[in-house]
Amino acid sequence: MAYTGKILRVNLSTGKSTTEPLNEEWAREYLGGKGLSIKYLYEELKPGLDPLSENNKLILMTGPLTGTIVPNTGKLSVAAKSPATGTILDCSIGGHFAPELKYAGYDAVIIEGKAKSPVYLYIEDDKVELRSAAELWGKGAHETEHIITETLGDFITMAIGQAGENLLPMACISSELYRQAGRGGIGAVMGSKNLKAVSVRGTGGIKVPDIRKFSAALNKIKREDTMSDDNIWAYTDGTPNIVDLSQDAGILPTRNFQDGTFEDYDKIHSEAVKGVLKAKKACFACPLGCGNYVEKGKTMVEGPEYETLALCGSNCGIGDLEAVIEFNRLCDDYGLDTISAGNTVAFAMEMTEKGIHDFGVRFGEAAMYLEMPGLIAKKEGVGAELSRGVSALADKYGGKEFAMAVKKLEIPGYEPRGSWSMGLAYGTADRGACHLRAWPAAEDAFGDIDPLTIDGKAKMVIDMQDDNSVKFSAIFCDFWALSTERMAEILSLALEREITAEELTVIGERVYNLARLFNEREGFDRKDDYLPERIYTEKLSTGFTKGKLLPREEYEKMLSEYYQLRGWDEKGLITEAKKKELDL
Amino acid sequence: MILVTLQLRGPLKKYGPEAKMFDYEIAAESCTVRELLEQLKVPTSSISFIMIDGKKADLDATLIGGEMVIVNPRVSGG
Amino acid sequence: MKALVFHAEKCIGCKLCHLACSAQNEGEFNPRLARLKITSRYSRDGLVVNGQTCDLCLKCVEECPVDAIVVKNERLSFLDELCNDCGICVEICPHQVIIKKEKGIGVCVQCRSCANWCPTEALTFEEVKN
Repeated sequence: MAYTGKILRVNLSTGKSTTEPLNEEWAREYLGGKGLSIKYLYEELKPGLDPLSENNKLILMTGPLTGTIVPNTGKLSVAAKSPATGTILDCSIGGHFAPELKYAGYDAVIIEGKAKSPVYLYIEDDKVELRSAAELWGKGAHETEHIITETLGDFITMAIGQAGENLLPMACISSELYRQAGRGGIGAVMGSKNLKAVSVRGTGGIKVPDIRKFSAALNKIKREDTMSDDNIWAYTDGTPNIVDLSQDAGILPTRNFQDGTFEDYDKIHSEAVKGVLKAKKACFACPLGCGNYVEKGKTMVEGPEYETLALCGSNCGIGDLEAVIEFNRLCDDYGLDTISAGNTVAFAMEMTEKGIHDFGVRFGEAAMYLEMPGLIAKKEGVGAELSRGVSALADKYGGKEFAMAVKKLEIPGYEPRGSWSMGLAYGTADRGACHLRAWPAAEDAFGDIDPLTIDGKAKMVIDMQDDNSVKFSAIFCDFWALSTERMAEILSLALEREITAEELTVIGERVYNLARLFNEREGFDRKDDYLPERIYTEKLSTGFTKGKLLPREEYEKMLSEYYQLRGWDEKGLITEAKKKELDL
Repeated sequence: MILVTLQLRGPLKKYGPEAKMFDYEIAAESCTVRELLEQLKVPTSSISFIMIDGKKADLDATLIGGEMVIVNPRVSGG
Repeated sequence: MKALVFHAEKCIGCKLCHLACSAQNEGEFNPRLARLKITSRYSRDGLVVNGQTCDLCLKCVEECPVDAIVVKNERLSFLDELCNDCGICVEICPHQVIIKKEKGIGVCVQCRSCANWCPTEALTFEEVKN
């Protein structure tokens, strides 16, 4: 059976762990991954709780296909209430952790409470222990992983660095050094629980009906679908590909979103990364291997991904690949989300250059830029203030119009003034500004649909959000652009029951609405679905998008159409009819 | 006979001489982007967007020689 | 005779080979039951890629005291009814790719499932030099 049927529940306050059966009714309605973890959190978390208190819960959730040979199913959902935004937060981490957890016998781990002193969670099949992390606390995520590997051997570990320990809203969780559960302060949830790391080893296996036939069928799908021209960009280039696309389309964030093209884009684009490439690296069961392991000078990283090249490169005016690689490596080690860190440093740069407040960093100056991850993670020097993120900084020092965040989560690498649909995607994403709920730039800025109109954009964003919701609940990696029909075909084989594409579409809509319901319960509504002022009022100055902005009235119309098509009211609240329709 | 300069980006490189940029001869007085891609056997489903001399263009745009044509690949995530 | 050859520079560490092997030969997806060991991990010195595969050295065939491992049609074959669980083959395999199970062992039987699945041709099947 593809699910193990078992959930591990660990109470860090009492030190006790128990197992319980997977809620099968919820598994049918939400599948796993994103949807199922949000369901558990919706049912178990009281509204209004402090995300950094012991009352928050951290859920590590696999999917029904995790641990099988189905391509691109090796990721893990990591979910909690977000310390950065106060919304629901689900992240996705690659690497090899998820299957190991499944082989250990668990569909998920739910971590509750708070340990009295730093611990790490040790899981080896049935053996579950909280071990002292006294020797690890204060160390970076990388050193932590190395030490645990040297101690335990053949385990997969995910760990926080100093940023998570210090409860930063931009703290992430790292695994195998360079894979992250990145956004919304997920690392701070671990830090607030005194949980330094989770290490797992599993010796079990997963069975599916007619496994040889299943494998043969999936090998054919792997060749004809997963590795088709649509997806092979991940192997040949990886995400740095997108630097060229964004530059051409005029949506490459430059100098704190002051512009959409960067004069040194060709120092940090795909060709530049390939010039320092040592090896391609894949997550578990992925034939595409999007990871780029690079070495330049004394530094190395598996990356940089597009978001890092954009937010920590062009957005900081840094056209020096070695500097971006080092900044990336430092963030991965200290445990900082590169999107939020890049945005925060860029904001500090603009504030300094405009003479509003001197944070000691300027666009294009690599030396101070490279000091930032350490100062921020350890809350030292100017990092003490910067660690709070752009929204808090703007509240205190000004510059609100160009504090680039939605719901206090910093904006990813696509300039909304050059892709109005991305503006809507950022405004309506469940966890704050996010490009992974809907990525409509693919169709307008990077496609043949007019990016500077609101026509059809609401529907496009809704369809993408729902598609990704079910995709990340079944757990397929973003980079396999598979159809819902294909998803249904594979799930039907693995779960021994007929699942249709229609059923999956409903699950997608249900998951997205449940996330919204969680947020509604926390007091979120229309007023929180807006973009920073800069987007509505300042025109871009160079390239393809010269002179462009996203007028507020157009955004309002697009947002209203979005609510209407979603079946929500004018305040952005889900109607009773819609709740009933989706069994919420 | 007209000449255009072509950039096939990312995984689309394999449809050309595997160079960053190259000159391509078209045996006609003019041709559409669609026809050019057909000649190179680039499947249109693999393309995200096309730029001609720095402006977005569609598959039916006409080339008359001397243009810089950039063909961008499809990507799914970010 | 043909056996597996591993090309480290092409390996992306996806473990599809392990999954293909255990599915074909053990009836479950369990990388630890695969009859090869490919690892791609970050150590303190950077990325370390290591691959151990059966190269038909035939030490297991020679050393098995009950002839439970034989060569048949240029491939290894395990006769489980003869096995006495002594574990000698597991120990003497120079590549450590014979797996010990609760009952019996698992050897590479040159089924090529791993090479068939490898997305980057990091596993090929070539004539052994003996």
